[in-house]
Amino acid sequence: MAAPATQQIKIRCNDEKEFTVDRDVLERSVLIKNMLEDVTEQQDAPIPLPNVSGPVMAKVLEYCTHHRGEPLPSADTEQSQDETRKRTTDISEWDQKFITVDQEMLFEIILAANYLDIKSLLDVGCKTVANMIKGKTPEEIRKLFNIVNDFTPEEEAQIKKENEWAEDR
Amino acid sequence: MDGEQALPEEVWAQILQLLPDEDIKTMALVHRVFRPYASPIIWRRLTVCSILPNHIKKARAIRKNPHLARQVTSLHLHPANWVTADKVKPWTSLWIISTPTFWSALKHANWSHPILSWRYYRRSLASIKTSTTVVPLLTNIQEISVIPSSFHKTYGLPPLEPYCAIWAGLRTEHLQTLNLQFVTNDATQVFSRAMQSASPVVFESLQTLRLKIASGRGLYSGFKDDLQAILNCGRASLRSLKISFDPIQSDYRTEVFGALGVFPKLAQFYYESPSFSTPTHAQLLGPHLIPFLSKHRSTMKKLHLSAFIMCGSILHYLCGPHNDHDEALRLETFTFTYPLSLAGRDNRIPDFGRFRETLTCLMLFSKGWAGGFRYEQLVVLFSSLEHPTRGVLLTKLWIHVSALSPDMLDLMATSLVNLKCLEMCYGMLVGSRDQRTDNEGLFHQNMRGRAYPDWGLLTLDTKSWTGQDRIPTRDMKEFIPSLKEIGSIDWEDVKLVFTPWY
Repeated sequence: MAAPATQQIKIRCNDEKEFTVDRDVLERSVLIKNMLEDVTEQQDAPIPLPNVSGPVMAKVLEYCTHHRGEPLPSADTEQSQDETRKRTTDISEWDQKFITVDQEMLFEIILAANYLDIKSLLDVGCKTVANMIKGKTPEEIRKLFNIVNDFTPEEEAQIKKENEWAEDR
Repeated sequence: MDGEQALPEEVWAQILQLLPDEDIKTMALVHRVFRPYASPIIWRRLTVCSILPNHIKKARAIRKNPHLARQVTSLHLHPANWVTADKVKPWTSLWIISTPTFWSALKHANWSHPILSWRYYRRSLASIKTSTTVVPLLTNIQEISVIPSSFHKTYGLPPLEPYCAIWAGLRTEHLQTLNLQFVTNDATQVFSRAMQSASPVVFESLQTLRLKIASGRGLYSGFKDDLQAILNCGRASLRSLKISFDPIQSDYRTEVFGALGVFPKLAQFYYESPSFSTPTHAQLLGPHLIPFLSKHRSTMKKLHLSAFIMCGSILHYLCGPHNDHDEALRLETFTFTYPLSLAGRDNRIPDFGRFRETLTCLMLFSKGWAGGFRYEQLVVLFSSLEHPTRGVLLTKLWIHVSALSPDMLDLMATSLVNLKCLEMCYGMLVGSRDQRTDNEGLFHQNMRGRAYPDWGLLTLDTKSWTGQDRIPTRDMKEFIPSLKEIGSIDWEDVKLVFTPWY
């Protein structure tokens, strides 16, 4: 017996690039899922996604296709902060390969995941950035992410002092 | 664009949550945009314990800087140490926390999960006196741990009346978890009296109770009543009960199970035996354990037994003819630690048929030399779990096998049709199920040409008992196309978190 046909949905990115995607793949995005649920009649017009470009959407769809069918994380499965922190480097092998991109694309993927509300992809992106930060000095982090130091020497001294107070060991 | 603006602040906040404390402190120094997110993480936990000079430094900083106090969400107090530590200035932290400015600063704290972690020490009268002042100020305590400073008899019990006064001072209405360790039988009496001194409102939200009862000098006549009084405090709301005591002494078995009674909402039960028991002891415990579980069959979903080699016999009690209760437990999760004799003395493995309608998560784990399941035992195990129409319902399985062979993988792929997560520990790799000597080469040779396209397994972790990963990841992905992850199974929802017995 042939499998039932999956509904195809069209989306349009901010560079006019269009994709036609299986509905269950797109529904990894809570934003799109809610949009589709709000639309009662079948529409042929593509869903506009003004905050995502074509190349980034292609990557996002690659992720969603790979993870299609997996249960979506729910609010009640949230871990404690300490538990989450222990698992920073816990990125599956496939996800690690997927997220091995240049920094600009990494940030674009994170922004898209945040906008489209794809929690698992946002987690992978955030964990990757966290892993890049680990063990570095403030100066190294500034260099890595092109950040300019905006503290006065006095403010910096105050923060260093507070950091020292906060030492638990 | 500047890097700090490349991502929205809420995303940076999420990234900071993933970092260790040291890196969060570093991020606080990178740019001012990170500081409001770093500071609450750095200051969220305040421990007041005079052994460590930095705790004093932190307490002092809080006393002087109310803006830091506002970040504190969790407070850990160790009153025993306030006056017993003599390596540093033992009275300093006691003095700091006794000052009104310290507590007025903490009045602004954003308590979300305050924990009162409390080690008692009978001679620390000053700490008890201070506790009497401090405890009523903590109106949002969610977890209380009361553990002895030492099992040595000289450390004994806190004086009863002042101790009751501390409990009477509790003002929290959010207590969810209570951890109690009884050193001696007398401690049961003290805890019982103290808890009865507290307002009943304190226990209205209690979800989890962990009890460790050490069998010391033998039971006193009122032990059962005192234990029952402790349990009654949370009886109405309790969902998870974790209990540890030595089943060898018959009076303990009778009294403890006699005091347990019925908990109307109990969904999880954990039992841990602290001693190395024998199968005979399981036969002693079984007649008490099974009626207790049966009384909770409508609410009980998770059962964990951690009891060295007695587990196998307990299982036979639960699954076999000894359990003559007319309705099966509707367990969804079953966890056994150290099932060394899972197969029982006569080499039978338990019949899990009673649980085949509900069981979705099964963990049978032991360590190293423990033996593990053989092929033919797995055949019996899986067929006993077979649902009449839906196959074996298990979605998560953690199992130890003596020898992993390609035909054992065939068996799992065909029997466990709903399985999504498999963690397997093996003693050796063999070419086929009838072989008894390690032969990794033959295992890989016989795996050639095999494939499980319909299995649907998503995560897999296979390791030898020595912790080696002897089956290359790429190979397993070749055999099981549905695999998404290898080697990182999340057992969070079933893992037993029980502080070590010491």
